[in-house]
Amino acid sequence: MIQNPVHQQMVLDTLCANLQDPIPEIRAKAAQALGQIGQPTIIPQLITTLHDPEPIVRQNAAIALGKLGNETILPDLISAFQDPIPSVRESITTALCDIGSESITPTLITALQDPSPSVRSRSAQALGHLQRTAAVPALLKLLADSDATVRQSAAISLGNMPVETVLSPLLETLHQSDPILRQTAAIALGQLNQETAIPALVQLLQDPETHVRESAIEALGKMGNTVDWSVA
Amino acid sequence: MTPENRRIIIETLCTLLTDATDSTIRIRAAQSLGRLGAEVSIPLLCQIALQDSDTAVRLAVLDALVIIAQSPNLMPEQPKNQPVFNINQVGNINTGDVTIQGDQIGIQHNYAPETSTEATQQLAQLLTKLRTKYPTKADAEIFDILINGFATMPQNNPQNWQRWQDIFSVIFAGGIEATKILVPVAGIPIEVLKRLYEIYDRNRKQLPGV
Repeated sequence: MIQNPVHQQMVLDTLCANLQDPIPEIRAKAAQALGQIGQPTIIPQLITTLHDPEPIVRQNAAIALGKLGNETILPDLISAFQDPIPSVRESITTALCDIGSESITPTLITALQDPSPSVRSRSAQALGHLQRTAAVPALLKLLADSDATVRQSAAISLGNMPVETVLSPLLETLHQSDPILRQTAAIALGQLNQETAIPALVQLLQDPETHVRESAIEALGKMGNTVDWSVA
Repeated sequence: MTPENRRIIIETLCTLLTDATDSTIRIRAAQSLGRLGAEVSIPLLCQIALQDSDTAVRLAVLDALVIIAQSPNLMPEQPKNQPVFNINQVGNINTGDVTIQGDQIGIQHNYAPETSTEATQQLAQLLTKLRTKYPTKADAEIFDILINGFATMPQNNPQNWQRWQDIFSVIFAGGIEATKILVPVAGIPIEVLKRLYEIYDRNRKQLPGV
């Protein structure tokens, strides 16, 4: 921690000056550093940096804004979601998640349909982390995503949601004809860790698809880990 | 580590950071200053972060600044331990036949400024007053008046000097090199700032307990 306020301001001024540097690496590093040690006073400079020509700079600026910002910068971040580069959109998703306002939920749900798997995956993670139950239907659909990482993220996010909002739809999903859906639902149920799901998961051990049975076994194993042995 | 050894290390690293022709050495010096949490080196690091010819050095310096900012304050550093910023001796200053009166360099507030902006604003206000008082004099002459006024103030008006000393302590907190980053400070050339720093530094050291 810098004790001298003059030094503190000097560092911030230097970092902000470096945001204008002609060398992209310097601008990117400055944006990153501002996210680590910056103060809300430099938010306007970071918002401007969201329009930097280099994706890595925009990316770091978005993450920094997530760490320093509040609801007032949401319009800028949401507007920046139109960025053509997936890694930037992914960083904006992270920033929105860090700010965590209720008003970002529609944006994150929309991002579940982003053409980039990394953005869909990150948005699913964010919605699960924030426990936005309004996203449950969209996350259930995402269990059948074409990308395995996205499916995994959706399953984990559903597992983080309040039980009453997801248990029933996940149990129903175990009966879908698509084996991928059955598998990811099993993963989500394992994450949810509800004993009421045990019969359905045991039944899934008879599934014709090997990978579905494997996921059911893993889900049951997770539940086994949470048995209370304290009375033994 | 004793404060003296720490001071020697930081001074050595600062010298390497500025003087080493091999950029790898400058990078290592920056990294070590960061690891040491050497807040006293911040003015120099800021300067290098903006000016070094090697991008890798600048990146290392930016990392060092973050590490220093995040490091716990295990070794509080006093400004008097500035390790690398030696102020050159200045010769006699031609002050002409004009002196600054106490009321001309009095300031509006009795509180110590907390930010460099606030401090430099007060210096700028004084300059404005002097230019108003001596509308026919060139800036060089105004600066001579300024320097002469401060040179004699500790003896002629100690109470007023106490207030200005607070202001200078903020402006020169990072040594004279730090003000280079802030230039233009109140529109004052760096050479004039150096002279003001010398006056401030000389009189600060004469205070009891400093």
